[in-house]
Amino acid sequence: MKLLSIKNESVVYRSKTKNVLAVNNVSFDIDKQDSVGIVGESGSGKSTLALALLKLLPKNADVTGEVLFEDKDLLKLSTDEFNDLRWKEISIVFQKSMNSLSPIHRIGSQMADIYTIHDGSADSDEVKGKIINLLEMVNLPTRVYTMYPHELSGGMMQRVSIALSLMHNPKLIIMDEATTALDVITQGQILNEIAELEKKLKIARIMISHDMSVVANTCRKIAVMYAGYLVEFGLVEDVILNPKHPYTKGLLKSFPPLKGEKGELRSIPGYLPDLSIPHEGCIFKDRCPQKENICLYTAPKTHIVENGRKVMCNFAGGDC
Amino acid sequence: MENNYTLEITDVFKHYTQRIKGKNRFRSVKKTVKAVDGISFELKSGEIMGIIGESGCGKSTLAKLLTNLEQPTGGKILFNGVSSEEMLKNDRLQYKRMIQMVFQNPFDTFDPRNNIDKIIDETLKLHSIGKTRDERASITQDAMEKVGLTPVDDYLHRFPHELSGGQLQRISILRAMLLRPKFLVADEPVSMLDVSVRAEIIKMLQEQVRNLNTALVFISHDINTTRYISDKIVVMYLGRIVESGITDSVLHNPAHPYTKTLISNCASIDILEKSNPIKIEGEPPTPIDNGPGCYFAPRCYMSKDKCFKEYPEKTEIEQGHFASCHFINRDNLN
Repeated sequence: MKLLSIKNESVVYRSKTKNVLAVNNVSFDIDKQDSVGIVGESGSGKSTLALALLKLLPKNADVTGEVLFEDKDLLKLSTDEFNDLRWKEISIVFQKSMNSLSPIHRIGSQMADIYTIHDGSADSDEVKGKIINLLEMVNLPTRVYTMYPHELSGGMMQRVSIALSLMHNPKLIIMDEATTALDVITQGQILNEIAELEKKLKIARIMISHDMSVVANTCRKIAVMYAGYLVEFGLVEDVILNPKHPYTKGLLKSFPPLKGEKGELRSIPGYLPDLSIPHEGCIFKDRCPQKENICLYTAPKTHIVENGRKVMCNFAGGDC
Repeated sequence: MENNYTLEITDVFKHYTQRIKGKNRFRSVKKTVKAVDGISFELKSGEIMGIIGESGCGKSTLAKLLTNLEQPTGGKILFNGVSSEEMLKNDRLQYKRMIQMVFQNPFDTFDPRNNIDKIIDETLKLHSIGKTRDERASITQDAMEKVGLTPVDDYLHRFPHELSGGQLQRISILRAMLLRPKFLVADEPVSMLDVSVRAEIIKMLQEQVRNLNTALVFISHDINTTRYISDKIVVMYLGRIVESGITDSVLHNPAHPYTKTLISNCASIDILEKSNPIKIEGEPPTPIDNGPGCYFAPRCYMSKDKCFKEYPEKTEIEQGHFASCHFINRDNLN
């Protein structure tokens, strides 16, 4: 059952001197209770894609395409209609929760504020009960209710952010690098908690991260983005064990393993291309180790391989 | 002689005093935060030592102590038998040339108003490497070509904000290595960078250090990366070393419960292998009034009465692999 379906979404940032094509023709689907991880290096358009879903982009960004959320096109909704949906159906957790919480209000009153904005009829005792419930759900002590953000550690603040996003039982949560700034142990704890909550509350999740291992461990599907293109999409097992796109292969090789042989660590040479200049052929051609003449002039199509897996490479059609 | 420098640290302490609101609301109480609490290790030239631990365990404070950005409260830092204080008294510059540091955020490392040329030239000039401007320019040119920052002229005239994090970090390493230091301290040098460029930086760091036979202290909370680069590894918790030894011996055969927890929580890319993370509660507390028992006991999954009463002794498990835990010798427990 499809929950969200993104069709040919493109985002262009317009400025006086140039137009930057940050997301280019991306399409994929998310089922109910599904989890999709989006990986890619900085500047590959991961966050832009996610923010576009929530209409959080600045005014100079043009979003085209279709985003169907339960058969409503999110991009065509008016602001009022969208506000009904925001946070109640789709919510987001940002990387730096310390920046998204107000430093001068207590955690409890901030959370209550957000609650009443989306549900004005609730009385204050009910709201308090609900918030304390939420805090318990993310393994925080109830005393956090009367504390200020500066009294909490990074991991605790991130938990508050997650509690906030779960407030109205959304159907979809977007986590934008939600655990990147945290310690190994705290990250492990929070990822486990998220996985458990997800099962309990039946939520779908989009997880944005540049850390392959986080996505590999917590998501069912993986989407690899490069320079605004979705270069590979599929089930985690398929993509990690048998990467088809050279970029995915490169990303996997640049990750040092904890066990086994210390193989050669290889990075992907070169840098992201300038996205404001139109290019010819494959977007990855300058950094690709297996490019051939065809890549210089022919932009690869998205090939659909088994299990709904998509690969955007000239050599993915079975002859690779 | 030149190839056999040793860095020896014995019982180094760094305590900070903090004022905390006491029971009497008009009077604050002085408390000691033991950021680094008695650390000893030895490092020979050419060795790479990794330090891992959670944030707040004193890794960065230790780095600052080594580079003399902070003075230790107690203990000795000896370079080939000469203490750091003595060296500083004699010749400040010589000390600085001997030990260099690479910081986490390359954008904060450089003066934003200077271009790369000036940044490197100033360092060389200060340490009087190369007598004339031309000579220094050619040293810079050579060094930059060696690490693949070509065409060099293209980089020299740019300002820090015009370069990417990976490029800047390479310049930061290069600047430190131009002085041919005997020791290099790298404090989380890759944690700000993208995964795809991380490998490159680590390889460059490794190469530079190997070429000059420099000892490297590599501080990171990323166990995978540390394993890749280091020969020895040290695990810190609340200012103390809980386990140390040869990298693979520690990581494949961890003896201390904290090391076990760290490793089991480390996300692996290998999805076929089912990991079973050991759960521990909360986060490391501020190191005030620790002990008398094992510092890790309140969070440890296997702590017993004894753990709260006595700090465990450092025990050798196999050659060169030490850990401080009561459970290593089971007889100790009874």
